[in-house]
Amino acid sequence: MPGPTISTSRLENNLMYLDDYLDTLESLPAELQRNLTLMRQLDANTQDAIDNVAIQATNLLDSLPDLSREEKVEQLKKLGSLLTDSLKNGEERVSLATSTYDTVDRHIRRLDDDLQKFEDEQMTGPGRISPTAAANVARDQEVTRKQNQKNEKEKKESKEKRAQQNNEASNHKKRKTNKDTATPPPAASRNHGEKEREKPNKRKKENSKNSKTKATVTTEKTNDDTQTAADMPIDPNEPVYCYCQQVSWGEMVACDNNECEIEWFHYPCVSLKAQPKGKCDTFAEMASSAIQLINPKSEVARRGQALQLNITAAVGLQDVLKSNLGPKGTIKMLVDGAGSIKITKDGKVLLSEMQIQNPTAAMIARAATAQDEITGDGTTSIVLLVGELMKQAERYISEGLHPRIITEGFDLARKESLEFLDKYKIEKQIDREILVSVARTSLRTKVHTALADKLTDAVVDAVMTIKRDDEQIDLHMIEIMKMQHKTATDSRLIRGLVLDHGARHPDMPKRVEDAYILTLNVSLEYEKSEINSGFFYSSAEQREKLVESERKFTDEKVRKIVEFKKQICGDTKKGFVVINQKGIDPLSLDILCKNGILALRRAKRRNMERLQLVCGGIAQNSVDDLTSEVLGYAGLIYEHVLGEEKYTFVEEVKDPKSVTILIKGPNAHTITQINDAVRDGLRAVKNAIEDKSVIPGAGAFQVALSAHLTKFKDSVKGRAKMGIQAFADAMLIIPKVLSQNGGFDAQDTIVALQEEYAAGHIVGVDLNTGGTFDPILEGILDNYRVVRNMLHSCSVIASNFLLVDEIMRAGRSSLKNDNVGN
Amino acid sequence: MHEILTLQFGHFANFVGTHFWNSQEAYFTFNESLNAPKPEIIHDTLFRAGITSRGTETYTPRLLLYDLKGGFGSLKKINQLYEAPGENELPESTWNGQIETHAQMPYPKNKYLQYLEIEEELVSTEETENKMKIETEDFKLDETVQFWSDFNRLYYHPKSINTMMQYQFEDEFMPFNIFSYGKNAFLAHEKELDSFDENLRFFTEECDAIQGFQVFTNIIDGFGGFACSFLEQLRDEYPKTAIWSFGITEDRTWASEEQNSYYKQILNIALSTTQLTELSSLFNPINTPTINQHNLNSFYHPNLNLPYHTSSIVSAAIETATLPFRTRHNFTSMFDLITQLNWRGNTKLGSLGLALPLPISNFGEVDVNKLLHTENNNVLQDLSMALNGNEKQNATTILGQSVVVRGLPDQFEPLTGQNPKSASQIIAEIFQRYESLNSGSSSFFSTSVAYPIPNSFPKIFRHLNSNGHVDMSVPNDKMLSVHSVPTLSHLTISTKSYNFLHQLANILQNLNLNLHPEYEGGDKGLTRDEFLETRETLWGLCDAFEDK
Repeated sequence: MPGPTISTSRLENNLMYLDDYLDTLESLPAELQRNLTLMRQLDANTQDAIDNVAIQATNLLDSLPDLSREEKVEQLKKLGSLLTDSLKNGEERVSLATSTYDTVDRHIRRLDDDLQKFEDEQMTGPGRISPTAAANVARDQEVTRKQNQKNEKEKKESKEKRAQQNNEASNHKKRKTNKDTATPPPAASRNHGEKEREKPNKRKKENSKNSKTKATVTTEKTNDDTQTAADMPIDPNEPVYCYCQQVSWGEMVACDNNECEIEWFHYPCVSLKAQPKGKCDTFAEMASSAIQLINPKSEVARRGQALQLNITAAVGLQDVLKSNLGPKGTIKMLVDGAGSIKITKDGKVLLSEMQIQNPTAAMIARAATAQDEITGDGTTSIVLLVGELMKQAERYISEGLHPRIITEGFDLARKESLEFLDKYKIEKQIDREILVSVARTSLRTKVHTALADKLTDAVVDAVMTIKRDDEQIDLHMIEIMKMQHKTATDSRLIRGLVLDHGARHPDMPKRVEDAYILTLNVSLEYEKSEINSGFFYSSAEQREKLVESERKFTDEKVRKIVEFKKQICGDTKKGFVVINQKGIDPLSLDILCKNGILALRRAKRRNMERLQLVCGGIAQNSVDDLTSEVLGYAGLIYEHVLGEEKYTFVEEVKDPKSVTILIKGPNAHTITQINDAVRDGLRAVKNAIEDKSVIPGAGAFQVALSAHLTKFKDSVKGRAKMGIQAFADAMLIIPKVLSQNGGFDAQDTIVALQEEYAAGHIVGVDLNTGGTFDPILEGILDNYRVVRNMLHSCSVIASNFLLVDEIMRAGRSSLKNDNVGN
Repeated sequence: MHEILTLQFGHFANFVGTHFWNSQEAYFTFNESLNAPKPEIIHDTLFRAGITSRGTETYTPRLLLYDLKGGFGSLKKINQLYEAPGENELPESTWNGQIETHAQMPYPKNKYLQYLEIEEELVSTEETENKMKIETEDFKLDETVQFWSDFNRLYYHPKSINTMMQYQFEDEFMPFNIFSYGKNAFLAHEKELDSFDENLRFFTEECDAIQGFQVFTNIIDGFGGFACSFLEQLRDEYPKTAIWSFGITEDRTWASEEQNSYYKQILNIALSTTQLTELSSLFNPINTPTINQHNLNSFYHPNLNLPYHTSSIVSAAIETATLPFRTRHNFTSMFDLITQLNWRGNTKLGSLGLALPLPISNFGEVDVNKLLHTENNNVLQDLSMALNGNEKQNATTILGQSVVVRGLPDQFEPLTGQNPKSASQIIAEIFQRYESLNSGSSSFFSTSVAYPIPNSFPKIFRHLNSNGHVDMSVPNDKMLSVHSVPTLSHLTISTKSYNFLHQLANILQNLNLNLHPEYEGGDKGLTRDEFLETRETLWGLCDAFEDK
């Protein structure tokens, strides 16, 4: 039976090996012990030396005044030499530790090496190895082993020698230990740059450390370390190099830039075949980037790596915003370093609040928030789409497709999508019902249902009130007034104006009914004119006179207003209110008050315009020639005080062309949140009116578009197809995330949607069941222009980032350590 | 009532502002008795009385301050005073879905802020014994002050705190270092938050007779542009009200002269200088003391690398120079003072100097000659802006000057064998010296109120007793407890500014705007014409200040 014989011979082999190995191992414990004892001894010595220094130093300090200059110098020198001694001790310890580590490491390597051989043997299979062959192998092995041993012995000697050298080495050398102890990878060839020329000695030592025989850098391949290193299993503790973050292998090159954090690079990773000539910063030469020559601190990422960085950033940003989308998304509570709270579900607010440090993410964020500025909504969707487009593109790029082909596909897909959108949109008479649907769809994604429905009516009515035929809607004509008071659901629409200030005279009426309103932009303050300076009047009397005439000038203006009021109101009970953009000083207030006039000063600039639209009348820049035509009217004006804040309500007006949405909330962050929601709601209503069309929501459009593009793809020739497919797939992220946020299985939903769509229905995600429904019937409608802009920007942003093939950065922080978000 | 509203733009400006407000708080006396004499300083000028929604009475500065996101440290917009009871409640009232919380590491409060919190509790429980113990403690402010809020003693009104969301504090990726960035940022900020109509108006609407605005702003970075845009609007709305702007630059932040960023800084300063001079009634460019300029006044030793230290000097100078606007006696309004100094009408650029302390002994000994600007031998720290450091100073003509001397007691201790000197004699002597310098108009102001040193003030004094009088017997100790110091400020409108303006104009003459494309972006970007106009304006200003 061949089996047993073979196994016996193998056993023999193994035993031989074991003996052999044990032989080499024998000396190890003793060696380790010796080293460690030595180290401990040195440690004790150092401690003593340091104590000694401390004592001497205290003595010196105490006796300082009594000593002569020479004595002082001598003492200091003594101290210096003591310190030098202890430094030497320390250096010796370090080198001992290094050599101990090396010894142990060598043993481990050997074991690994042999194990590998052993395994190889087994792999080749028992049957094929004859006893003689086995013996041969064993002999060979023995020879190699002996050689190894010999080599190792030599190496040990060299190490020890080096250690001694080290001990004797000067401080200057020691300071360089940083580089030395960060042991260059075994198979490394140093790039012979200027640095080397500067310190040739140092470099040679380093080389000799790797191998005694390695006299020149190019011969290091003969080094046995090199041979073993490649097949060695990866030691998790082994340092990694290069930007591929792998252990050292093959030939490597060091960066001459002292600031370089990576320091060592594999030749293939920096597309090098031979050792570069002359001095260079590896990066600079590899990237042939001029910037780097100017600023050696800059950092460059190229090609695949650059793309990877961008994709990671885009996907990272997507992850942050993902949970926001839709009426079932999560709301985010942001607490800053000082403890202030911000609550939002709005992608735009979130992006501007977050401290985004990653340049790519920051650029996507800026492009996405620009969308908000144009259309008022859709920030989250854009970020999701950009992330998804990049993700989809990555699939194809990893298979070797050039990014440019993908972007060509994106471009075609975008054009087709926009055309499809125009066919898909619902064009019909925009009535109140549709507006309510649009506003509700927008608001329900920002605040809870009850509040959203309350705000929906306010928002729609507000826009419908200020809307004028054939004129652009100016949302500034809707004043948003905030009151920290009661609860959010007390927010409401006021068909009039609320001013955030009140009368500044205690006796002025707090409530005026049936009143004329005079809007002014006239200073009723005693103001000094330029000439009224100390330089121009020679006596106190003259000054008094000037002051008096100034005062008279102001009083005259007030008198005119009072006369006008008397003329208009006569003896009737009608009220008279002055609202002034400029100041009114106490004396003027007093006169007005005595004549039964309610006067408000320093109104907001924008309110001057709104007042005219609310009450009628024309704002006046002078009090001369006032006529009844310039007056506005309001049925009720009253003051409301909350702490130090005063509010004046101007209500019961005829046909207001400007209104106020009063937002209430228990605290500042609630008010801010509602304010953001109301603004988005107003924009949505305005967009719908101006677009004269809407788009079915709840992901219905994206599903339809995806299906359409998949079909469209077939009509396109060439590889751009793949870009179109990527675009089509990416569109599904919206219904997917909507469903996920609702707690449903995204795949189920998508399949159901696609099936329904194929059957010819318009379908969106039903967030109550996870199934499908018709968004038009449910009144879930999106803005046409939001979707249009979204399609446009997401493909442009994604294409731009896909085409980036080099990222440079000049600065302290590294490209790789950047995180998305906070 | 002659209210003054304060505007602060930028991080270093806020350092200065914080010292300013801390010193204002130090004037407060909590003596409730009716017979007590009315305080010399009218606090209502700078502060406003308010009431919170919970009915608590407050007294907060009339102030708007602006800083970048992340520049506020532990300062909250809505502080304890104004916090609503449910301020930190979860948003159940607006959302019934899931809530995700992202909390940043809370910014740690340093020892000083912790002490302030304890002190506040003690005041309410009136345990004064413990208070005394804490007072002597060393708060290591030199090491722990990172943001200006780290030594801030006051509560601000929520409307005072304005965060610019577009830029982040010390962001390398998107630094706020270009004038035009500031202009665009203002546009975006106002579009979003309308702080001019909402917050500024809130403070001005309640003023009965506002005497002016004092503006502290950075001018070396984007805040210069921000301030300019703000003042443009302010001028629109308040065409005749006095505006005194201080363009403050921390000497430490200058880039070295060969660098590209140095020219950006120069361009920022040039644009700010021309526009702020145009918009303000008086514009004071200020540079913090430099190492070679700092003439080792033996009584104070600031660490010039700490903004916490350098800002305290600037603040003391501004505080002293603006004192006449807030006093019960000898009140001068901002408008009056400025029109008096700028009698020519076209010289709106001032220089500011400060003697901190005004070196005077308990016996009234003072070397008046040293107070003047003479070669090397002066105690008056010149804070005016000069580029390239030490260009030879020509003899200057002073067109207008305002000297404020403060903190001299009515009567000094008599030296043996002599009659005690009285403050009025000394002050008269000082004023006489300054009068002799002048060929234009002069304004002199003196008061016995010394410059108060709250415990937030850096410990930079040497050889001063607790009243801030020179006493060489006091040990050269870092931990001197000085409660107040006499100071002297010297505000001038003089031909000295010519050098600064001339240098600016010269650099701009050779500056290639194409190398600085950052300035062009945005709605409020700098156009070539505006650049040329700025240069012309600078040459025009040079003319106005040239010694003829």
